[in-house]
Amino acid sequence: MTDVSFMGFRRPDGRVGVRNHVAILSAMDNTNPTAERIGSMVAGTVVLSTPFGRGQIGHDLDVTLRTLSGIASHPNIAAVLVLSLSIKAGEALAARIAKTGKPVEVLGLQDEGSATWLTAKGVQVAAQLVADASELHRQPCDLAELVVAVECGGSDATSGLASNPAVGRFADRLVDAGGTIILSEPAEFMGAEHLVAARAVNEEDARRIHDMVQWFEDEAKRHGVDMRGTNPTPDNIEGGLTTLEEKSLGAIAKGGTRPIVEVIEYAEAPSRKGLVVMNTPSAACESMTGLAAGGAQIIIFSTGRGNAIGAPVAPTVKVTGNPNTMNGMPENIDVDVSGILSADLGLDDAGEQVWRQVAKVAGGKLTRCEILYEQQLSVSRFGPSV
Amino acid sequence: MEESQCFYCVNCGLPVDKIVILNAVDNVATSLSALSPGAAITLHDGQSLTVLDAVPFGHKFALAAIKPGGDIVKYGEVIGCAARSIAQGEWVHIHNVDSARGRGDLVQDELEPGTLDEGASD
Repeated sequence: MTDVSFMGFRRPDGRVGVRNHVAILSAMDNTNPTAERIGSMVAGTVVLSTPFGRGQIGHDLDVTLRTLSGIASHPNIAAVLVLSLSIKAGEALAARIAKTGKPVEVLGLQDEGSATWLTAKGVQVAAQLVADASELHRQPCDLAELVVAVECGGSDATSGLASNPAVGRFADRLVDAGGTIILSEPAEFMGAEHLVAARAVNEEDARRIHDMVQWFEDEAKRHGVDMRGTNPTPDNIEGGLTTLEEKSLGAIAKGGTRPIVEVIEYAEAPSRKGLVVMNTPSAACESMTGLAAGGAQIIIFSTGRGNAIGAPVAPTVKVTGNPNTMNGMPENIDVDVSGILSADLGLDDAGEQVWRQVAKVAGGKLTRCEILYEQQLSVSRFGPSV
Repeated sequence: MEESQCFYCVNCGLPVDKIVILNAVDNVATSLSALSPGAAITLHDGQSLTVLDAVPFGHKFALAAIKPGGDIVKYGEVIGCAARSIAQGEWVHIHNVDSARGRGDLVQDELEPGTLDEGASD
């Protein structure tokens, strides 16, 4: 193995997975308890559910379908069992997932007769999917086949000084190796958007970056509120971040310095390799759900004050540059770069630590989020249900 | 901006262990320890200043006096403006700095009520 290869699962659609889960996907809120029951009874499964999924129209319907199908289609998923109130109601979602070529089964509560019978049937079907998936084996893959998303949360002054620049070093290296980095949370470009937009390779994408930031400005105006207190959050402020501009200037460092080759919407998959910007909200669970749905096999989560949560399906690597956070929550942190602030660790060496950890995680090493079940699926919503 | 993110005094390139000045044009420094009022800070160019307030880990203090409305500069970029006069060595944070962005509170009746829920992000 060289430093640019890892052992991954090659999927029928050509993408490579770093995990080999069977997904129990609840297509709507009313089958969530059954999905949880099946998941708790069958090893090797992950449950994908959302509190919403019924009564949605327009933009929300598009976003929810794109997100749930994106996550279930994810290369870290070997096969999918879709649960729905009726088979017919789950078919649209199943059809989208089946385009990847992976096995997809659909079961309906009304078709099986009750939640109890759906549970029993679901356990039988899921057990077979897991048995089949367990025969798949890892093969040599190139790190350039990875899409790695970079996220930050619980930010403080150390985020912009240490962990984000360290992640940025990783980002540049992966892009240079031919891989893809997704930078998100454009509300946290605010005050630094001129620096981000200037790196877009075409004018249209530069304009979209400005427009995405402006949308958040307009939302603050619509509500007549000062965004400070919501973003930066109370914990950001306690950690020394005074304004959103200051937070943003630190946040963008995690995307590295390479040109931006594409701008995509929430939960869309990049069509190009290189540095890509996705439009997500700054709330970490929503943002990471969109990033995972876009196909990011791994997410790097830079934190200052400390934040334990990870993405669904995509192993989430926690990096901190805050020595107090490292001391306080070591069980939640994968990479400690706090040595940067005591001048014991150079930025390049810190980037190397992130690189090595990501390579290990790609090959199967579990992240703290996976070990401690710190995973949350949360789909962005924009309007009411009908 | 990226390459100037060093962890050294920008004036002479020597490592610092107490404070960080990210760019030569910055008028605030970030403390890497909890500073007490009266703490003497000697910069590598020989200049010294006295910290006037308690400055927690990761927080900022002024390297020079800043007039009301003056730019607060960190990373070589403007991160806000002084809400009042700020003295050299004074703690610089939300009590004396205003943000220029996301200020819907300064705008009235421009737009219809929107749909984005308020809630802390990360």
